[in-house]
Amino acid sequence: MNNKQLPFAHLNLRFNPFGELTREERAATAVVNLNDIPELHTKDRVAVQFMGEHGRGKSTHLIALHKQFKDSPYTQIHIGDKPTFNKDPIQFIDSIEILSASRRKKIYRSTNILAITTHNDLSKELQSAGFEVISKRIFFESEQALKKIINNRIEFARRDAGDLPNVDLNTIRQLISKFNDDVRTMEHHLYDVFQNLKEIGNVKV
Amino acid sequence: MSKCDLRIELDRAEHLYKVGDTVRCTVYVSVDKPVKCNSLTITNMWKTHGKGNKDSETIGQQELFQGEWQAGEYNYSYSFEIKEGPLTYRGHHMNIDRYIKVRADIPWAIDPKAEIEYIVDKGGDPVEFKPKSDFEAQLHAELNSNSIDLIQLRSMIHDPMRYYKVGVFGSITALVIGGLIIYSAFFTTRGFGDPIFGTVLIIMGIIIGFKMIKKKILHGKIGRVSFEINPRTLRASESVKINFEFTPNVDIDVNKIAFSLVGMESATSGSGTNRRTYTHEFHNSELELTRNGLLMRDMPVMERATIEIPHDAPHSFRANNNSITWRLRATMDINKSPDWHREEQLEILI
Repeated sequence: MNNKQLPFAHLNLRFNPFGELTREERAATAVVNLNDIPELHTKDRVAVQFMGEHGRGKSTHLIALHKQFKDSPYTQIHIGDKPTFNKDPIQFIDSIEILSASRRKKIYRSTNILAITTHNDLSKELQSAGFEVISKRIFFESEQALKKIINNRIEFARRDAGDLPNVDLNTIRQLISKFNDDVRTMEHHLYDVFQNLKEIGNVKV
Repeated sequence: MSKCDLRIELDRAEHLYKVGDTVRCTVYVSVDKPVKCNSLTITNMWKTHGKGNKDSETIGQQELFQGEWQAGEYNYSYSFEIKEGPLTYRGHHMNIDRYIKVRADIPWAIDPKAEIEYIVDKGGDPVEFKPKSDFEAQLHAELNSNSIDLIQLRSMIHDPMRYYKVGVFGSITALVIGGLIIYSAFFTTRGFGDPIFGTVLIIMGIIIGFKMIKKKILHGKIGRVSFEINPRTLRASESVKINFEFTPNVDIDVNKIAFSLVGMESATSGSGTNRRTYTHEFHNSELELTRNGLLMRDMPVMERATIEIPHDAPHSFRANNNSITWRLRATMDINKSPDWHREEQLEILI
């Protein structure tokens, strides 16, 4: 019932790479391109919005950007939440569209730099609140990008030097044919695959 | 920028310890230039990992050094006795592991750190309940004890007809209000309420009503069933005794009476409405009673059974997002009647 060995040592890993990560771990494993976002520290009244479907990486982008503003608050909002925001002029808000329009306007008034994730484009209301808006739509970029995301997660779980399980392009194509561009669902599937993986090699899905 | 590398070595190559053992480790520090260290801190902790949000708890922490290192190698010894849980656990959705972490607080630099896992298996020594998770397990164990008040309370809760009247009232109320909303929406000019809400109420009323009818039929046939287990708190390899009694109100044809010992792990990921719980049954052993067939009206059925907890059963564990629970489930498959079942929770100690 209880196999007492170091976890995932047979795969040269410390844990299942596709299990739940903390926010810090997600920041460390994020494969994102933020080159098109200008230096924000020197800006005034600027809003960055990451838009896209569920499971495409909006939150990962926001978390990665937050690494540059570690002292600023990061608020994750869920339906039914009534979060409170401090007076910090820089705010990171995940799923801001859950808040009512009036609540959002209140935040816009008290914020100087705002970074958000949203399913809907909020640029009009951000512009009317006086923000310069930088919008980035998050979508599936390429098979190579997905391969990098997945193998980066595996690398993060590395135990020692040496080989690791490898997800090659063929497997990536199979994942895309099964789950389209929903990276989160792919990760859930890969969790189960890695639970049952017996040895290091090419991962089959 | 000076280089400061940390490394931890355990006294056992395979990292395997039992409760009661002393873990001895050495922290090696290697620096290439003089460096000031505000604090070199070592932490003994447990952490879950898997499909759920991570739970963790610090068991012990100690400062090993404070001051300035000159270029060279240094080593610091640290040891502790394992007196507490949780034990190492490998599951499908969750794992529990123990870690020793060391971190050097270097001013104006990214703090170097190192981590090593160690495995804790069952041992002969009794376990002190120190960490919060163990304290909660202890509390549950005490709550599950067989005090007379608690037995009476459980007996009241398990009265199958206790909520019957409330259920019937709730079902009728939901049907009437739902029906009025639908009627007003479609057959009057001044409708009130949302027809979708009315439909939901009617569906709820039907479901509750169906459950109450099922309960009434079952109670009419088998009456009140006594399902007592003792002890409720035990360790692996120990046995739990089951008392199962009822007196049928009518002749019933029983296909099967069985008791199942079920071990379940649960891991919750996300939060708020994104919260999702994954469960996995890692153990299910069934003991089927020989008594089946026709059970005569007014003839008491009294069964005694014993189930042994497997020797390698993981102990009960409860943290914010992850848990290991054990239950004893009694089921009675009755011919041409709804099945009867009930569950009682067990606490498996380390």
